[in-house]
This record gives sequence, structure tokens and C-alpha cells, in this order.
Amino acid sequence: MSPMSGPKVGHADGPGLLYLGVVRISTTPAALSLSTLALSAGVGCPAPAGKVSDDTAGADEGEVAITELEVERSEVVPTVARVRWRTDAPTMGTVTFWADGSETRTTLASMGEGTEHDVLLVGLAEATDAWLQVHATAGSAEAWSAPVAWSTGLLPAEVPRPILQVGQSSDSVGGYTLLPIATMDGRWVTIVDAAGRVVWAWGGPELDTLRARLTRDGRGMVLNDRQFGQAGMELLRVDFDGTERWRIPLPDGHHDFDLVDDATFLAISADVRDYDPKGGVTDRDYVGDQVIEVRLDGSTRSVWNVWDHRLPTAQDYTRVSEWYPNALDWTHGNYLGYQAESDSLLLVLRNLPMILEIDRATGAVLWALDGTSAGVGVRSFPHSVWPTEEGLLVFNQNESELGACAEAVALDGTPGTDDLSIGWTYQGDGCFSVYYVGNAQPLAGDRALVSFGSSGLLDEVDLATGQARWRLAVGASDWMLYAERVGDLGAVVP
Amino acid sequence: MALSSPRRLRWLLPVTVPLACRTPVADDTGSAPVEVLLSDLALSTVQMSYDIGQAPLLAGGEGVVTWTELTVDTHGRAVDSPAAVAGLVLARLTDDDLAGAVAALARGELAQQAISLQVGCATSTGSCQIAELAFDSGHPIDMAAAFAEGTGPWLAWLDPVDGNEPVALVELVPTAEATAVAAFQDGGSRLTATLTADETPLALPLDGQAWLDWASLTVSSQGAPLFPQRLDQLALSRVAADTPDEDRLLRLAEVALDRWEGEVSGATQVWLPDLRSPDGSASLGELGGEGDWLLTLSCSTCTAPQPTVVVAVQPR
Repeated sequence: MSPMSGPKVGHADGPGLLYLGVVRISTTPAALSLSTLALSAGVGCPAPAGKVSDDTAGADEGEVAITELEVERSEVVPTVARVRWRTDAPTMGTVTFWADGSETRTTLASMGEGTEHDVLLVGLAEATDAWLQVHATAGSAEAWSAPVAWSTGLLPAEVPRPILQVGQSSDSVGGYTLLPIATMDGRWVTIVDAAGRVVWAWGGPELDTLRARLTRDGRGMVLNDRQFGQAGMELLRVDFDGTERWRIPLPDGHHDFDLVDDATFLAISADVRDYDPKGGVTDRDYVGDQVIEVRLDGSTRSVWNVWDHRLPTAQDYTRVSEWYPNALDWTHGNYLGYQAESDSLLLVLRNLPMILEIDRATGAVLWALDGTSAGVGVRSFPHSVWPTEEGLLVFNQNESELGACAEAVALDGTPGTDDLSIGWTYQGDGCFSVYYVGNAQPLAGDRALVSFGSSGLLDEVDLATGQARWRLAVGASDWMLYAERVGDLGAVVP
Repeated sequence: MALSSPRRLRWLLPVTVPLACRTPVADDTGSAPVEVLLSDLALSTVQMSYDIGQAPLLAGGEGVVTWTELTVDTHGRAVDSPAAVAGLVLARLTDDDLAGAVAALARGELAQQAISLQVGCATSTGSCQIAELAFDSGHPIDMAAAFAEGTGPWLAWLDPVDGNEPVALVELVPTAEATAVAAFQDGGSRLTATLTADETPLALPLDGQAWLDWASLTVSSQGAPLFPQRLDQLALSRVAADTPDEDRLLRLAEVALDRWEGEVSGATQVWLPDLRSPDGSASLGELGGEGDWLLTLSCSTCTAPQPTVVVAVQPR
């Protein structure tokens, strides 16, 4: 559905705003001058921590100068500002920013040493008045810009805004949540803060995503995008300011992927083969899965392929493939997570059901957990797995289409051995039938983040009490896709 | 493998930066324009509710739902069915509380957690077979098994081509011995509304020269939590003083003697003279004339009945 047509007359910037263009500030060790305009905090403005002035406290005269400081608000994602500046000598740079009146400061680093610096500020809610200050260092010399006022704008009206249904920001362990949301009108990747406010959103009717992952460089994310009604997907890189950098087509890719680094990606990819299991269906192809590694330079390799390890049997659960004509959806890979510490990946195959850890370099299966492992295993239609200090955290959809309750299950012990038992389970405060996505993630502080996917709930669970201390909910007809608590945004300086 | 070209490469555009606070700018006459801040206190109190019917339908996947004979929507407005209908949505509720879910839908407070299964079919033909219904994601589902006798409650609604507010609703009851066809019919679902105008109408300048700002709204006229950023349609309408409340709320565009409107997506303020007549041919004139003025704000991407915000206006 498209919004009602009509003249667009809204004004995000309000009455009396002068179009001032890009702010350019030259900060010399001796004085601050404004090259294009006079900054004015305006009548009735609350006093910031510091005002634009000649005050250059901390600068070492004659050693480092910050020049041509520019602040631009993104037109595509108006909650994001791009800050650029130059220094007269190679420096390391940071930007500290804060909402007006807030004690919370966030400091993001510019990438590497140089004379040109460029940082994307993200993390503030819509329509927030804010301040920023640039810091440059070169050895023992340093310089500060004067505080500069800026503000975030409004995201499009159609962006879904979850409601913080339980708790408040102080009830959460904190951090931001990467939360793609499906609506009746399209899909959006959102980032939500601990107060439940959307601080970033990108998407719309053309986007058909399930997952987004932050890039290591702190400037954006990679997400997957499908074409409605077709097999395959693309990976695409979007910076926080909404700039789309590249797309990589994966003709048989589906569901999930992860980053090894900003130029190397692991993705689930279908491998469709003609096979006749004894006693099984003989006139259909079978859709199995492999994990492929893709690089920005165009190279690709198969890391692991289920067909090398297992063949369909008549007993395997299958159903008609949604993307491949005359094929049965056999393994249904639906979750992939890269483990940097062990250079391995965790993979979930929903229909078998099975969870595996696979060595990325060799493709060797390090362990596999199926529906019968150690008497607990993967109970029914798993949709995510995450390692914990005690073992694993699994999200099981269970037989959702028949009304079964989805659940997060902690499996304590050592995967691949008989030393595995159920530590706890969490179904929320009802019985939620999750027939689409759903995932669970351990958090610090004896918490877990549990997304009930198509049931539209995201709970931060206190494991000591088994209660949701913090809950986001979306409105009717909106679904949560793969949710991930990501902590900070950008290249945060401690 | 070649990298594809960026589909939407957009660049940052310069924006105003030192705008932590706003200072109204003097107009040609030297006087500052009026800025009107809309607060929760200014909202008229509205109560909306659905009265929906029940239709037994053959359990399993063979049943058919049709809407070809539907000529009015829940507001009682004429609807060009099936052209104005994008498709059918069928939802199985989490709890056995259809009345509660429908009431929440009417208030704009129905959360997805109240729905345990939601499928749909997009069609312009005016009918869907239960077996055709599928997840929006494309995931297959065996609706013949899901739509079984004894399951439910099942709430079905027609999704409009424009917007997301249901065109019509019905409770479907899967029954082994029921008819194989269930039809949406005129009067089968009806939205009712009551309005309590605020005792102190919102004052707007007679010449319309004012900024209107609704950023501080936190609730709808029905008292539901509100994100003002989601409101994307604004209208100023003049109605006859004796216009019934339900007409003012549910058929306002049809009964308005004067109407000025605009799309306000991505904004929480509007310069009222930018509003246009419904056909776009004229810009806002004087807020005069006999009768009552109403300000309404709507969310075209919400499933709740619209308008979300109703305010009585007193031009001065």
C-alpha cells in the first residue's frame, strides 16, 4: 500500500529556520573563526557544556589546528550526522557528542591517523538537539574544537516504532538493538536504543531483508535483500548515513549470513540436487544447504556442504520449497553465526533439525547436535544458536503452525558430548506461536535477549527470575526479524 | 562474480546545523508568525469500536472468502470493491478473546503478540480460497490443516489498496458442515464512534497564517500511546454545526463544507498556508464560514481506524 497521495507540506525543520548550508568552522590554536556563518544557539537555548566561542582550551598553540569542520545531517537517515574536519598535521581524531542536557557522552574515533577525518554520528533519537566536539591529537599536542550545536531530524512516518511495553531504559543492561522489522508495506532495518526509541532506520517497500550485521569499521552495516518471489539474495553495504556502497548477488543465498571482516562474508546458500531416497519421494529435487564464503573481490568458495555428509531419507521432514519449482525444502538452513575466536561458524538446519559448529578453514564438522543428542538436543525447528559460558543458547520455533509454543533453551555442558542438559527454558508470559524467525542471544548480567519473531515481541530476560525486565513490542501485522543486541554503534573510544 | 551497481546511491545534503532552538522569523510585516503547539490537552476525546459479524466457513482449505458484493467500508463510505481491495488478511488470535482484540484494533492498540498466525492473499479478483493464504514472507503453510474446526478465533479483514486500515472485518468460524463460501457484506462490519469536543477549542488565526506543531503529542484522541512522527496526513475541515458526531469522525471528508489537507510525512510541524484543497487546486484561505472547524491527523500506514487525532478548532 502506498501512502495517500497529496501535496507534501510538512516541515521537519519548523518555523523560522534559516537555511545555513554546511557549517564550516576553522579552529586555529589562537582563535576560532566561522568561515561561512555565525553560529547562534538561539533564544531560549539551554546552555550546553560549552558554547561556540574563542575558547580552545586544551589546544597546544602552534602545534595542531582543526580546520574546516563540517557537520551535515543525512537526508536519507536524518538521525545521522556526518562530521568532517581537517588538521594541519597528521592527527588522531575523535568526536564526542551528546544530547542537549544529557550527561551521557559518546566518543567515536575517526579512522586512523591523517589530516582528513570523517565520522558518522549515530545513536541519538529523532528530533534531538545535540552538541558535538572534535578532538585532535598528535603526540603530546592536542586541540579541541568549540562545541557545535546540531540536531537530528525525523525518520519517515512509515518507519515502525516499537513500543517499550515492559520496563524502561534503566531496566536493560544497555546497548543498542539491531532490529529488522517486517511491516505490511515493506521491511526496515532499525536500531533501537535502551529506551525503546528508534535511532536509525533504512528500508521501505523495496527492501526484503531478514538480517543486518554491523561492519567492523563502525560506519554502517551489511544486510541481506531478497527479490520478492525469487530464490537468492544480495548482500548490500549501507553506511549509517544511508549511502549504499555495494551489492553482492548470491543467486542461491538465503536466510542468514555473517561477516568474517568487512570484505569477507559467510552465507547460507541452497544446493538443489536430484535425489531419490529409498522409500521416499522420487519425483522431486531436494533443496540442501551449503555455507559459502564470499569476498568483495568477487571470489567465492564452498566452506561446507550438507550433501557431503548426509543424504535425504524418507523419514526426513520436508515440505514444498517456496523458491525452487518441483523441489522439496530438505535441510532449511536458517541461521549462521561466525565465531572469530575459533574461526568457526555455527549453523542451524531447521528441518533436520540440527545445529553444527564448522571449522571455517577446513569445513570440518567440530560437533553436531540433532534432535536426539544427549537426550535433549534440538527439540523442534531450531532457529538460532549462540555459545554461552555454560554451553549453548538455542531458540526453537517448535511446531508453531500447530500452535506449539516457541522457546529459548539453554543447553548447559559441552556440545558434541553426552555432557549436555537443559539449563533453563523461556517461553515468555504466554504461548507464542512463532512461525517466522525468532532468535535468542545471551547478554551480560545474567540476561538473555529473546525475540519471538513473528509474534512481535523482544524480551530481555532476567535469568535469575525468568521474567522479562524489558520488552519491545510491535503493532499488529509487524514482525520482528533477526534481532541482535550490538552494544555500541560506531568506532567507540572507551 | 561482479559486484552490482548501487541501487540507491545517495549523498548527504547540507542541512542546517545550529538549530538546537528555533527562533520564529519575522514576516514581511515585521510581525512573527503564530506558532501553535498542539498538546495532549487540546485533543478531543474519541471512542471508536467495531461491530463485526460472524461467518461460518467450511473447515480446511477448500472454503472461499469473497467480497465482490461489498459496497461500503466500516466507516459507511462507498468502496469500489474489488478494485479498492488489495487482498484478504486472516489472523488467528493468541487468546480466545475476539472482542478484546477487535476493541484493541479499534483503539489502535492491537499488538502483534495478540496474533498467533497471520496469513494473507493479494488479489484484485474479489475472492480468496483458504488454501491460497500464505505468509507474507512466502513461507509455505498448510492452511487446510491450520483452518480446522475448533481452532481460532479467526479474524479476517480486507486490506485496502490505499492505507492499511481494514476495509471490512469478519470473524470466520471453521465448521465441518458450513457453507463453502463466506462473503463480506454491507453492514457486516461497522465502525461506531463518539466524540467529545474539548471545551476549549484550539485557537488558530482566522487568516491561517500559523505554524502548527504536534511534536509533543503522546497519545491519540482515543488515549492510545502515540508516536507523532507516524502521523502523515493532516486536514482542516469545516462542517455544518448540526453534523452528527459519527459523520465528523468517520466520514469527515465526505461531509466537509471546506477542507484543506496535506501530506506531512517526516515532519511534526506544518505551515498551514501550505495546505491545499483536496484536488490540489487551491491553497488555504481564510478559516471562516458557518459551522465548526476540525483539525485531524492521520496515519496512513497504521491498521487503526483513522483519524488518530481530532481537535476542535476555533478560528480567531
